Amino acid sequence: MSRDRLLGIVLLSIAIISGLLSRDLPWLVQGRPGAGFFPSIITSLLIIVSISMLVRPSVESTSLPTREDLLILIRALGIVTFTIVIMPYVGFLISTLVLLAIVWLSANDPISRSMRLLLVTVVVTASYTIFVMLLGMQLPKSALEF
Amino acid sequence: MDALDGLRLGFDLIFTPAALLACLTGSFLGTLIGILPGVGTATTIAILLPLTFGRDPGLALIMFSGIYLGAQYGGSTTAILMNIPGESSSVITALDGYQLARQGRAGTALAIAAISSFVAGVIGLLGLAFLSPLVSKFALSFGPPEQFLLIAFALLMFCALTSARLSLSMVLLGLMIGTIGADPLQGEPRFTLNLVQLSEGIDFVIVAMGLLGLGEVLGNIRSQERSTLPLKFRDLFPRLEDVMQCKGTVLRSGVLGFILGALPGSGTTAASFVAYILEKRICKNGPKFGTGQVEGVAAPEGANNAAVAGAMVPMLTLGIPGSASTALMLAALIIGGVRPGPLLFAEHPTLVWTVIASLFVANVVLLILNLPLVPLFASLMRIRYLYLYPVIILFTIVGSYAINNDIFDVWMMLLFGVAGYVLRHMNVPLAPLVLGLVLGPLAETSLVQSLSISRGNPLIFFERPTSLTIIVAATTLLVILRFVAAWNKRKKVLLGNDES
Repeated sequence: MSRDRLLGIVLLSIAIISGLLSRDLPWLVQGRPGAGFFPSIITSLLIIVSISMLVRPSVESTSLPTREDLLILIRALGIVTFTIVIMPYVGFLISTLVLLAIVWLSANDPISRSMRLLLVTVVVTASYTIFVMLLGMQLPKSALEF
Repeated sequence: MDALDGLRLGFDLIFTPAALLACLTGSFLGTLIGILPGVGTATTIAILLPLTFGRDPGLALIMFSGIYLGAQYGGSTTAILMNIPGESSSVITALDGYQLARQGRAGTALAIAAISSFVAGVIGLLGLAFLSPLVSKFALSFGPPEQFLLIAFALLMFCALTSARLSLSMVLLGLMIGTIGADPLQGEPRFTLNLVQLSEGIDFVIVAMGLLGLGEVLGNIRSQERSTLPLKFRDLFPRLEDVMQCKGTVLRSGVLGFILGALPGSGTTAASFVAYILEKRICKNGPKFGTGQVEGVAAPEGANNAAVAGAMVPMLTLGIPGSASTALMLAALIIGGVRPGPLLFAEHPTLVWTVIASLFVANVVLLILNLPLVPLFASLMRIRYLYLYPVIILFTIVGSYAINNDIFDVWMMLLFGVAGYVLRHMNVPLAPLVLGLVLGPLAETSLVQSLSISRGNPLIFFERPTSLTIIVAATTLLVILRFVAAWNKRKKVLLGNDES
């Protein structure tokens, strides 16, 4: 499918949705621009550009990702999503440990597993030291306060 | 006291243990903040502001200036190595810097960033020392209408120089995302879907880390998991010819960055952006920008450092802060009992010249601090992608969480990461979207302010001499660009006909 056509459809949909969401926002308040003024201008321009993409698309086409690409993407997204989900409950330290352990220990790699486990420990300790202890960032903590 | 005497006085005073310590601490902290996405310069200065109560305001300003300058140096590191801009002014640096790193020339990119930051930073400081009164007069004529026109034409020019319609659509999408949250004048919530987390809008760091950082990782996992970059030992260091190739770019970006930095509200981001556009147009390798050109790194990095010195001009001479960071520096001065304004140079020469001298020292310190680290940072690219990408993911998670200490922002980052993956797969440029988002709120505020001043009359953009000059200059440039593009197209067609 033509890339411009696909992008044009997506952008037109976004413009229409934002137009609907901003219909109650005032355009002018006592002769001055209101909250809906700037979004309306951008929405109008986005509609014009997306229609021009639909009507006169460039020749460049886009292909869908292959099955293998999608499987890798889903796996990566699954790991990241899992890390984000558990982070507020188990804290930054454990969720980081889980993220790195899943990726590095499950990989088929010439480096030995014990070496990779050591690497996980070093990176987790270093990131906790830098972000939490050195920079004092307020990252999520587990029930055990670490 | 003339500028030379002032500088002499400043250099006499900066070499005291307390002033040097403040300068070194600020520079080091700033570099660290710049490297780490999510920890902004303004936030850091705000956190440290209470520490200045009851202390010498000069020392506070020296430290804060070091932080401000250091963040510009550090911001390029993650932009070049991971495609994650640490500061908004580094978004543009990522365009060519990351491409250079992908070609195994991370060392060159990092060194060019450090050297151009240093040279252009010194140009900016010379401007601050010698041209402050002149530039501050010009800055006073630069109000919201001029600011809006500058941003609008810069964005249009960027689109005209890249794949026009595609870039324009992404800029508009970025501007649209920038309207999420409270409107700048009345504070009315827009597009927040009744979510409290969206009431203050979406921070550009979240979008940049998702689209550019996570999106890049997701797109690269399959092709790069087993590979390392073809990085030779000598590629860890810059080549002299690369440095020499950038000399014109650095000088021009230094001057431009200083002038743009001095304009209230423009800040370092607009400076880096406009310098990149200018160089894309006039430098020899300009048409190849975006594919990994050293000038494409030198221009934004030089301009954003020179803009730091420029931003000091309205702050010190007029008491007008140009950005959130300079506003906090101004607060530090006021808390210390010093009133910035036209009389500051006459009433507090010691303070002003020590701060200016400290910026010179900070520039040298930052160059010394950054150049030896170049091979170390560049050698990160030798690590196999399998071991690099989970750390980049970790970085994006921490960076997005740190903005508001809210897991919602991490989910937003993930969402933009998926969008980044899809758009990247479709060969859609992502930098225009991030630029639209960064400059959008600034553009909206200045447009709304302009129309409020004129009570809704759009003629305000044509009635003021400076704004009219911007319109005429930018329109002429756009017409020339269009004409040159049409001419080149025609030439190609004619050549093609001749060959056939």
